[in-house]
Amino acid sequence: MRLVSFLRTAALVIFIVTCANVAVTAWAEEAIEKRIEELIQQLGNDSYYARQRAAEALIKIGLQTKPALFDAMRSKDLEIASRCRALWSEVRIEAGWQQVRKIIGDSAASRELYDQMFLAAPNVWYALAENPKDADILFEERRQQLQELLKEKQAERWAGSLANLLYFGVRVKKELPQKELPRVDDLLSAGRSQQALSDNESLRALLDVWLFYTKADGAAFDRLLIALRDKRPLALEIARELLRAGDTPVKQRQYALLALVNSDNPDDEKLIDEAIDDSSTLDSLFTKGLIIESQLRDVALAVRIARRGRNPVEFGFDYLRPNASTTYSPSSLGFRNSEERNAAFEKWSAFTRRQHSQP
Amino acid sequence: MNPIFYLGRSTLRRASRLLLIVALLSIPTSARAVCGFDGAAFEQIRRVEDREALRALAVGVSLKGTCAVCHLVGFGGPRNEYGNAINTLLRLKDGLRNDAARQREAALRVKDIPANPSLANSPTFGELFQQGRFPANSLTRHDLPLAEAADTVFENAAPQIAVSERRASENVTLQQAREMVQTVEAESRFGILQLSKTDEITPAVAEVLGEFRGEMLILGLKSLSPEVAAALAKSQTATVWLHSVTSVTPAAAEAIAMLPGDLFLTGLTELDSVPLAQKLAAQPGALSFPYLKTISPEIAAALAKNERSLTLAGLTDVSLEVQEVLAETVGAVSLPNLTSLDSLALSKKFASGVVLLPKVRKLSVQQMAALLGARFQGSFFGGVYLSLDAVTPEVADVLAANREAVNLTLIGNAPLPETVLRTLLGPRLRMTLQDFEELSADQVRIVAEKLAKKPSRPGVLENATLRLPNLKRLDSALLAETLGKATGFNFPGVTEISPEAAAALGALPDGEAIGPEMKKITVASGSLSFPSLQELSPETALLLLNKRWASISLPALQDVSLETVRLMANQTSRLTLGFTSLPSEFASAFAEIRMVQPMAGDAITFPYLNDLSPEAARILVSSLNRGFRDVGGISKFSNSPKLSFGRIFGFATLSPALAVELAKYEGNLEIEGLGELPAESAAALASFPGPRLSFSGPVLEKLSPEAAASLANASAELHLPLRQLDSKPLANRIATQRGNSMLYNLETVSREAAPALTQYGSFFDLRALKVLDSPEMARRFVEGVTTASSITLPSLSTITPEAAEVLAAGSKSLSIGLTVLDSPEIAQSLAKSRAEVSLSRLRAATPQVIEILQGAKSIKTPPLDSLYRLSESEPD
Repeated sequence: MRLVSFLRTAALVIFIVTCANVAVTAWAEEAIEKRIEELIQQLGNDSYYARQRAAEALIKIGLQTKPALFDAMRSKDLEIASRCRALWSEVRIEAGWQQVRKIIGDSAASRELYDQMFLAAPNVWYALAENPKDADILFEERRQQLQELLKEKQAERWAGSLANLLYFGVRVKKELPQKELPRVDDLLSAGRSQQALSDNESLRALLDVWLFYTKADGAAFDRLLIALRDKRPLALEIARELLRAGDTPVKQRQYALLALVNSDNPDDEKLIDEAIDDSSTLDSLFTKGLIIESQLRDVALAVRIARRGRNPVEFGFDYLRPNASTTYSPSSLGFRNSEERNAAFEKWSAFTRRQHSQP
Repeated sequence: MNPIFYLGRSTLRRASRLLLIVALLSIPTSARAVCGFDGAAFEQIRRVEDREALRALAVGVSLKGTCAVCHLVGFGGPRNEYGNAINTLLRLKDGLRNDAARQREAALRVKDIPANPSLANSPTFGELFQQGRFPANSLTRHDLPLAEAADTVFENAAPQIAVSERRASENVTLQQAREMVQTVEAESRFGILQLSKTDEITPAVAEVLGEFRGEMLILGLKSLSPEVAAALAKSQTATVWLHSVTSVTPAAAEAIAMLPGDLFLTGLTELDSVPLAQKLAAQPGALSFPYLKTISPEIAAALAKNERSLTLAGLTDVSLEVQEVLAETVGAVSLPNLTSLDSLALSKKFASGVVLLPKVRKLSVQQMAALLGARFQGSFFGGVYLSLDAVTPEVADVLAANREAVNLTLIGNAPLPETVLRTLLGPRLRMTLQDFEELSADQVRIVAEKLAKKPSRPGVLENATLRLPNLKRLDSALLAETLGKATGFNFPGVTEISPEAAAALGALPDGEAIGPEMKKITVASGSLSFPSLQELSPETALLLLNKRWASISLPALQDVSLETVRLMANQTSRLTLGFTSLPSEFASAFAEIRMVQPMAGDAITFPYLNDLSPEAARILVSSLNRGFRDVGGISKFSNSPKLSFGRIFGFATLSPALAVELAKYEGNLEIEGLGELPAESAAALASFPGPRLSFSGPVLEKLSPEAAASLANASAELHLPLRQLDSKPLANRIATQRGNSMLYNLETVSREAAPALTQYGSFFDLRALKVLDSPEMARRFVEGVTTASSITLPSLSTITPEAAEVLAAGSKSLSIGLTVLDSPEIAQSLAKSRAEVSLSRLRAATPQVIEILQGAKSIKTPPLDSLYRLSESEPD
């Protein structure tokens, strides 16, 4: 009995709450509608400031203003009608911004980037405000558009277009097909993309978000190369993941190892240790009539030496070439023969022994 | 103007440009000169002994073209000191430029001539070549000034020998002079007597040398006494060239001006004698004084009478009065080192040729407008070369407003204001920033913006163009993308590429084409060409090779990894790599090269390879062999790319072991610059299964009978443009092969080989032929197909009466390069010809021959009274 009574009471409470909620919502909606009506009327106010305030308030309310604005577009007061037409555009632009700011932040620079995104594809953003579309479709459309634009000698509003691509890409997140990633990499490598990234901090921040979301994907190695090239801290994280994964190809491991040169995390030593005995051949360098063979252990040794603040050349890496992205060109971290290689390893061992024996 | 008329005119212009481009593209090597001087330059380069020096020159030629060896600027226009020397030996009026043997002779003649006679220790042109240095400056190169280079040349050439000793004058006695005159007259058939290493001679020796009756007397005298001048003035030779005389006294000038033939004093630093100036200007070819420092108005007036062109490269400060006089020059005038242009009339005069004013730092708007007077300034040979300092915003406005296209080259690396850059990158200015090694970020933005624009006039798309030949480091992604998209752009001077720029190039879009069923397909696009890049890291390569390239050309590459080579082969079907040796470990790296047009462009080229082991060749060949396919009609269609070794130089010899391996190749095989072909190697190549086997280089001078017989058995189409053909089997082989490329270079054909060669069924064109002693060959010229309605043999120096009889009996007109005619039989035979017979190079003849020529209406010669009369018994 008690249970039945409890259930009845509970049902009653739920009913009352629901009714109250519906009533409150209806009341609130009615209040907003009323407010919207008032604001629309104020658009015809004699005071410029009053009109401006009303317009700003309507933009802030957002897409809810649509029916009222559309009604008012037919107003006999021409000032109201024309302002409503303009406001509908503003409202849709603002609606986009409200979405975008969640990803790129709401600083003035972010807003400036959004403006560029909008100007690069106004129809997309207008349509999106009214009929949300799947992000993957939008992403694919943007990608295709950018690829076509890339064929042109000049493309207007490239930064905005690129930001749109990254933004919709981020929204798709993990659902991106793998084949899309290299295509985006190509677009990111284009001269105009690199120029836009170097000119625009907000766009770089958006790229970081993109890299974050795609870092663990199959094309992580490509991501690593881009991050290394752009000297982004994300490179370290991707490199560690590649080195931890058991199936990372040896030719990718060499770059991952080199990414650790500038890390001061002692845990990375373990990852380097795992490669120090790996004699897998990486490449052969033909230089001035000599052939230099590099193995994974050579790269690991050079990284170790560099992490100790020493120059690998001191230990016998005579063919070493600096590289802007990877500190050293991995194929130059090799030796002519096993004698040269053994000598380098022995020199390093002697060095570490001396270091340990020092008080 | 009527738009339709305009459209028609512009279409016509475009069509003629297209024709010119097609004509230029049809020249065998892209870097070849079209004037004929390249034969001399190539000959001199081939004779360089040191391999590194040879490579440096070959790379230089591939970078800047052969034109820049002789000309002060890239194409056409005034010549430098070396070009002037070569031009003296290959004068246009004598029709010598197309004579391959004469081109080679010119190279040997200038070898001992000082590059700058005004320098006490001047190296010779030949010594400079041997050091891997071009013999004279060009605006397109940044060579060390000669005065500074001279010491290096001596140190490198022979450190143990003192300069004074090396330059010791070779004395010539009276007796030696007499013997020399006789010998040279007889052996050269009245050709050239040269004494470039003799600084002084006595009047008596001069008198004997003056008796030389050949084409040219070249003397290296450093001074000219009135007595020697008077003796030489009696010279019977057609031309006297005193290349090292720097000044002439009034008395000597007066004396030498009496010379009946042409006179060249190319080494003058001073010229005060009006009669001498008049004499020098009277010769009909181009007149050039590279070292002359000053001239008076009177001298200028005298020199201005030259009808062809006047180049005064030694003049820097020139008075207004002299400028006004030079403005009246009959031919073109050039003062490439002028520092101040004061005469508007001279500005207008400059506009009629290549405008070359790299040292004039101030130009008025009126002068600039006047300099843009000619219509051809946008053509292949035309151009305006100015100092960057002279291009103020106002001058830039004038340049940009010009209605005709202009090839504008700006010299120097002074700051280039952005407004000026923006103005200059207009639609009709094809701009070269000659000395810029880098662009600022803002300049890059302007370049990107302006080069992307597509301005057009009716029917004409006028993209702005920019060349940066000395850009060293390509570190801007935007610039890389902009220039990478510009049509025909390459990066000639770039030695370093940043990862960003590499990524931008690797991200350039693929091309599109219409494929099967009219569907759009993606194709490889663009040429990845870095002619100066020596090092390419695998990381940069990975970025560059992100896309497929229509061709990849890295002829200077010395440092590269195996993975990079593999990747390159994977991403193109036309690969050029500048390796000098190919290790066995790398030989298999090309196996995956793409196949797009295996018989029409797909190729692996090693232009500088001179060290290839049989083992490496075996691996290379077996990794590239992809068999044949039947395409119907064509006997062999290979699936393998063309394999090409060498260019200006190549393998010194082709060892039998190497030949055995290369003989297994199934694609077209091209071995250029080959030194020699041993008989055993030729025997190995006889089994070559590929469609085409080509050779070039010194090997073509002559093949041994055994080698020739072996090659005659090869089933492949042969491209073997020999100079001497002695082999009957090979002549048979040539006669049955399609295409006449093997006939062009033939200078002698033995009596045994001639009948076989006459069986050749297509155009029988042997322009290099020096000896015609076969009536069968003569009959073939007369009766068979030739490329023209006339028979042209400009190099012919010997002909037998029988052959002459046959030639003259035909209906074709004849043009024959005989310099000496001492056979009445030949003269009579030629006189019978009903068609015209041109003997424009005739220099000497016997009185009897002259009599016959006088009566022959159809024979054209130089004025008969100008010919030297040989005595009837005199040997030729």
